[in-house]
Amino acid sequence: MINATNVTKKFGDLVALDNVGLTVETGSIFGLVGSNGAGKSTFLRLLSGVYRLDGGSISIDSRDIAENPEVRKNLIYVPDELYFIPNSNMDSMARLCQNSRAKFDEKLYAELADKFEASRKKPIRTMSKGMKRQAALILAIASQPDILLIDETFDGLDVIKRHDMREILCGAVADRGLTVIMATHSMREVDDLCDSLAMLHKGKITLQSELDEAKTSLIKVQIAFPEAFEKDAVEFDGAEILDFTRDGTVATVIYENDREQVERELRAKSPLLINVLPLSLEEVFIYKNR
Amino acid sequence: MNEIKNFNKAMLPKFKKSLYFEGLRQLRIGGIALAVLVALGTARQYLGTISFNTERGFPLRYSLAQEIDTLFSGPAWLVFILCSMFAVISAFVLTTFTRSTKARDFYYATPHSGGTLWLNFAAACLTWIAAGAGSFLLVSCLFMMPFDAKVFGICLFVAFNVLAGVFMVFGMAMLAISLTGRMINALVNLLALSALSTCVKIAFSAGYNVVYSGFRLLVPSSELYEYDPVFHIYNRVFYDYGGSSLIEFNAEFGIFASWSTVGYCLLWGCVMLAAAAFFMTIRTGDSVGKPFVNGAAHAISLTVDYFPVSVVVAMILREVTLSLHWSGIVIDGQSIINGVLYLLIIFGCCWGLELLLTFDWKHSHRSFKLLPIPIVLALAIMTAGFLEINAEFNTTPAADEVESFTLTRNDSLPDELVMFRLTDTLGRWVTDEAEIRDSAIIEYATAQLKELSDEYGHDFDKAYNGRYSLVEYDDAPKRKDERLISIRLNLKNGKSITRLIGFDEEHIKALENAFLSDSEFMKEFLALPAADQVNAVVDEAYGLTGEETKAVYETFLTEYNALSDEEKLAFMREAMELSRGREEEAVDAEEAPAETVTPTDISLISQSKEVGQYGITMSYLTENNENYDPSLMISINGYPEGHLYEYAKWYDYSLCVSSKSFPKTIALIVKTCNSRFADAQKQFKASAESEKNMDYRMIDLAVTYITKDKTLDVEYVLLIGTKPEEDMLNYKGKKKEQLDYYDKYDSDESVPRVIREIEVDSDDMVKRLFEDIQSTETIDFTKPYADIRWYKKVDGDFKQFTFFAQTDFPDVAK
Repeated sequence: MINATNVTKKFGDLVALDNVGLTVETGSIFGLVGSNGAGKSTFLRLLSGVYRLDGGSISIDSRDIAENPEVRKNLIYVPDELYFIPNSNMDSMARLCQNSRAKFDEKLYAELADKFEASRKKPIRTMSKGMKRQAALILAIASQPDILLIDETFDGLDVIKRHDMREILCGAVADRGLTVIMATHSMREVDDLCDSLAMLHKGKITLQSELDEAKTSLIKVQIAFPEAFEKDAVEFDGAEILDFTRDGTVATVIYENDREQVERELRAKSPLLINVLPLSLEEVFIYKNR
Repeated sequence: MNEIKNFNKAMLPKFKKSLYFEGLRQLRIGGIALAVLVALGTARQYLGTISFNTERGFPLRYSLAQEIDTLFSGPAWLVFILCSMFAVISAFVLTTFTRSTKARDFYYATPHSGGTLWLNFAAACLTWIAAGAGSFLLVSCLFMMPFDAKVFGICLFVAFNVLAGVFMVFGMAMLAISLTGRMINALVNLLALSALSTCVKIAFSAGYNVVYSGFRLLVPSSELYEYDPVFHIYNRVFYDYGGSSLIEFNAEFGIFASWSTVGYCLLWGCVMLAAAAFFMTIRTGDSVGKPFVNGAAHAISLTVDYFPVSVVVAMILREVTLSLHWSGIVIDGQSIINGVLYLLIIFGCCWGLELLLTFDWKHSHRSFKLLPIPIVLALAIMTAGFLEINAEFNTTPAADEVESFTLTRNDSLPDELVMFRLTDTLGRWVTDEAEIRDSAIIEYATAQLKELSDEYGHDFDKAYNGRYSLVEYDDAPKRKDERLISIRLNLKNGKSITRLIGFDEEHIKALENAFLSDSEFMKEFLALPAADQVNAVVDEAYGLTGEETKAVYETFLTEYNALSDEEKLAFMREAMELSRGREEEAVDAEEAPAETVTPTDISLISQSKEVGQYGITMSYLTENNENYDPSLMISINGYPEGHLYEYAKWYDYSLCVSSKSFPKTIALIVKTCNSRFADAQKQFKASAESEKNMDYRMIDLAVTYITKDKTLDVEYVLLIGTKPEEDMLNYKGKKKEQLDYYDKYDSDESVPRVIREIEVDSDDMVKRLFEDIQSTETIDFTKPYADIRWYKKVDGDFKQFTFFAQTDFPDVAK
């Protein structure tokens, strides 16, 4: 289990992460979503040991990661901007991974390379962005880490390869308890893959929950009254309205309240129509972080 | 220093074979290229020398011996430059994770600490550098070993020297990189670290008064700097580490060791690599892109970068203020003005450098917080310099504290200022191994020391010029009849001090007598190298073979050893006077008008050189006296066995052997030389007929006339051929360079020559000349004879043939 407590990271005057607390269960896929500059990549870098913590702590299976390269033995970080040794090809990079990762599986590497039709001898610098991402993921998965940190997971991969890669990741999670933390802008990826997620906004956690809970953490209601009305008509004691849009006598309201309470309070106002609509993860993200 | 507080043992550098091999792999293209370039470059140097000398007809062994002699100046600098470039580039290549965020994300996420990455990559880099040096060693050995197994030691020594220097360069590069997360800062750091040694030397040399004396001291005091621009740069960087350059080259003395410099290089390299290891270990990925990895690195960068810049700027400004002073604009109070000026410069440099290194105008004032560091450092260095110089100058032992003394060469001053000929009789035969205990001289020397200390000790600016001198040579000698001699006093407490002290004629005489009356010294002094140590290589184009030279030398030794000590000494004195006379006459002749006739000796017969053993040079000499007594000039020089690198062991004798004292030797040399001449004449006769009919010929004819009261070399250039106009144009134009070159290369510069160009009506004169040559069987050196260098055009180039003829053509009277 990965446990981050009061994690703070500053760059000069800028507070990139401000008392962030997170818990990621072993053998799960965890989505880290957030707007640009929210601190997702910074968090992954802290987790992987690239950055030093300015405050708080991060532990993996109760072992503090600070100044402890040993903890990183079974952790792999695939950053957004990939780096390969100059003039290297996949095989030479595999050799490098093999040298630093005890569990590197050559057979698995060969299988994955074949499956994705990757050119193992081709210089990586000549590959396209998607092929580079694919190479990095193949190398990371073949290294059989316990924890895989991926920034912009499938960036550049085509639809089929995204699908295949997703299957492989899910297989690794199911088969050997791989823990994946993926930082992404794509809610679709999180929706498709993740068991739980955290939303980061301006260095702070705005939401951390299971995927389904996240979707029900807000309630979207379509409501109509006989005559045109304003926002105060749908307010009640304790109501937390995140968004209010009216078109004539019909309005769409987003509440951050309990569904039953909202329905009960609104019905008491005798509307012509009351309709509870489903919220997408993207909408949750937007309304939570707007 | 949160880094240190949070430090975990797991962060310590560890050697990991896999990472080391990864480093080797990443550098393999550069490493292999380095080894190949070094091998080719080294081979090219040797082949170039061989080719150069083969053209002149020198045997191969001589070529290689000569190459060993200049080993430090030839391939060594090439190897050093190539290896240093590789060291710097590979250090930057392997540490991209300190500057690039992409590489940082990759490397820092691996289960290796920064220190471990550093250690293994540095080891890989040094391995390839060693391979480069090894390549040099291998190629050198391939060329040299077949001729003399001893040269392996020299090659190994050179390779080790180079390796030590490159090790230090690599240390500099790694430290420069480890302090910062940006390329530009790393480069500035590297530049500053390279210049730091020179600046520290300047500060030390000038003591507290950097501003006053620094500019003058920027100009290196060693003449070695003049030889080669690469050496110049090289020495500017490294000269100051050990007080001598890492690789020292002296045209006359060849190789000598600088183990202290090697030690300094290794020590500095280790210190810088250790500092780099520290910063690499404590730094994290956060520092990528930052100008300084932490406060300590900031302070070090500022200090290191500040120092050379501020010293140079201070000196330039000082020169400006001096100019103002001389022009009368600024009149006094220089010290105060300069003190303030210097502080302002430090201040300005800190600020300017902060701006340069951070590009942060807004926060550049932060550098002022660190200002005390460079100021304290500068003060510490200057104080140390002050104390050292003070101690140096004020060491004025009393006579009863001195055990013995000897004379020694002073490397810090130019040769022409004395250091060579220590005294008239002893010449440079005195080695610093001698221990003379003459109380009168000791008293004189200590009194002089005291006097000089009293006079100059308070004024460092005037007094200090190199570690071993006490007075500037510009100001000395103080008296007209005084000669500055470098003397080493061995104190009873085991220490020794070396100083330049003025000796007047009376004391020079006493000094000589002190040496000459020392039995141990005299035993060594009068002993000449044994014949079996002579393995001379002779210029076969002209004269004697090695065996013939050896035979002559053996005969000479037999005659010499039969003399009594008094006779030997008398002979030495006479020889030295004759030798000195030759040199002085040569100097006079250079200054004299071209037509002045100057008595001189004649005819170079042979030359020789051999590394690792003695070589002898012999010149057949006709002295300017009425009897034209032939004499033999024997020069013995070389490194005695087992003392290959010991400067003090260098021998250089010049002895004039006259037929009166050494009749057997002279008889043998005359016989041998005439035998050689006869051979040459036979060859000429065999080819003369065909040569006469060549389309293109040119003869450089040197005729030596000996009359009753003068000896004269007259050199004519006869242009003969079917196309005289073209010949003349060629001669005066492009081909003149070649002739000049031959002339310069072959001529003994001590022989004055009058060169006359004459155009001749070719056929008759050539015919007459050929007749003279053909009729000459042996040369009588007491009569006019000609040394004819005949250039024949072969394959578009001139080839030289040399003959001798007993001829008075053309008549000097005309």
